[in-house]
Amino acid sequence: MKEHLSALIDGELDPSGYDQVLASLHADASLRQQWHDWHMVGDVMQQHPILSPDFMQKFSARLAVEPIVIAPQANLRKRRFMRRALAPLSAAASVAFLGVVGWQAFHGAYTNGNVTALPQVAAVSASPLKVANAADSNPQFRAYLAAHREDSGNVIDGRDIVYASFETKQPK
Amino acid sequence: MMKTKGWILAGSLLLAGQRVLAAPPSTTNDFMSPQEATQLVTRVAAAARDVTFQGIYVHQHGDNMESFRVIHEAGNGADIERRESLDGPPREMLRQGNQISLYLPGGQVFPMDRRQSSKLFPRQLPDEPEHVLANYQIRLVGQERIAGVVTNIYDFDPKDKLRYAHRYWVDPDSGLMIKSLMLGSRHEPVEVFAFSQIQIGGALDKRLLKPVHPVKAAPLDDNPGTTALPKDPAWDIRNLPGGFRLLKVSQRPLTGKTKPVTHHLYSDGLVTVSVFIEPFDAAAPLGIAQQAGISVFARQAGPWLLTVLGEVPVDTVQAFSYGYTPKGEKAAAVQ
Repeated sequence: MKEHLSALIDGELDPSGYDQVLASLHADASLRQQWHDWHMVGDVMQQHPILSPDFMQKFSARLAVEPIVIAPQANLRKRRFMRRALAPLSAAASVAFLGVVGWQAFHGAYTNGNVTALPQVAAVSASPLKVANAADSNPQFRAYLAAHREDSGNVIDGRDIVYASFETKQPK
Repeated sequence: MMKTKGWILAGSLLLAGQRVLAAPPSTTNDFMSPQEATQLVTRVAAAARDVTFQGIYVHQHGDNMESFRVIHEAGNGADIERRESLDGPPREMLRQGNQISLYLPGGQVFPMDRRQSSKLFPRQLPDEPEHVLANYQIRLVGQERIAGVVTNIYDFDPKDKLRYAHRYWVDPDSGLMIKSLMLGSRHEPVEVFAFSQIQIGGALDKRLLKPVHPVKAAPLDDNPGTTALPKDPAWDIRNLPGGFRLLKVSQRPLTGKTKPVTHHLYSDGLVTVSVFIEPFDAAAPLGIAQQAGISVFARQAGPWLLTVLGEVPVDTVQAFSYGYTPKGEKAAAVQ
């Protein structure tokens, strides 16, 4: 079975064998440990930061306390509500959540004050910033935010938001 | 994954020096007495009004960073303030007492609320200390040099979980706020205002108060605040989160909407929460979102779309939302 498992991890297992391996994984704790160990070895070799040993527990605990979208309607509508709720607006929220996970994972690997490593990592990360801006670039979200700011007397802060209200006055 | 982690790190880097201080502060755990706290809030609020200063400050929120120039003339009954953006599109604001003139991209002008529009950094503390002290406790946590000024650092810790913690750096000589920081639910910095250069007192070159852009006078919206709930015939409004006061109710146009939306604005002394009401639109995104210290919650309530947002935790915008029930409907599930 271990050969099959190894083949599965390497993507060399025939798809027809997936079910059997996954079923044994489900049943056999030592196999799961093996799965975990091999992945850890892989992570080390590819120089991924190593998660702390109790990462899954922490992750599950964290997941359990994440805010849940509450809809007072019936179950079916709730599901639809969730999907619609989560798709457009909360890209940023999920990035933020991923961030928490990532941050915890990072903690497992490095100590907090590893200053020399910082500039390098920061440079690599230029592109994901855009993703975090998804809520910002959602025109509807920005419209509400602009209105909120304006009525709070804050019309000059935040160039994106200023642009949002500016767009109303422009011809399409 | 690597990239995600890097981005988190970059985020904390962006808000550089704050990270160190965002950690739980030193052992000073003694909250100031109500008298001391009142004195401090009164002094900081008054200094922003009564002290002449000029400088450049940086505003960071989320991954945005912008600098502004601010010049404030006080004394002899004067209260003149000019602000100008130094990054991005030019924006300018001139306030002479209650009269506000604006220059914004596109040349549009908004009606300005008198009490709110004078609340820009470093004037964020309210003139009525009891409003903020009902919701926050203050303690002195240390000293730090900001823009050449050795400041005292004060933590404003919320008394409940409905709001975030704030930290203010105050010049002990003038009482002027030199830096302000809002911390998110994980105690991470979400919004910072900080002078990078400031001159407090001294003579002011009058030419500095002259607008550099063609500013236009903004109509004055002088709506007095009330603690009473909005009297809206279509809504039952009750059990709103404590410590918030209604500042104003308005019908206002909104980008992308053909009809005006109803806007209720609440404040707890430091931050604001907006409730927007409009006819339900099936295309509207519903649910929760959070970004850079702003929480948003949108839901359908009867025939209405209810959108609540503010510089508060997710639970608070949800509580606001479920405090609104359309008349004729049963109250929303008890939260």
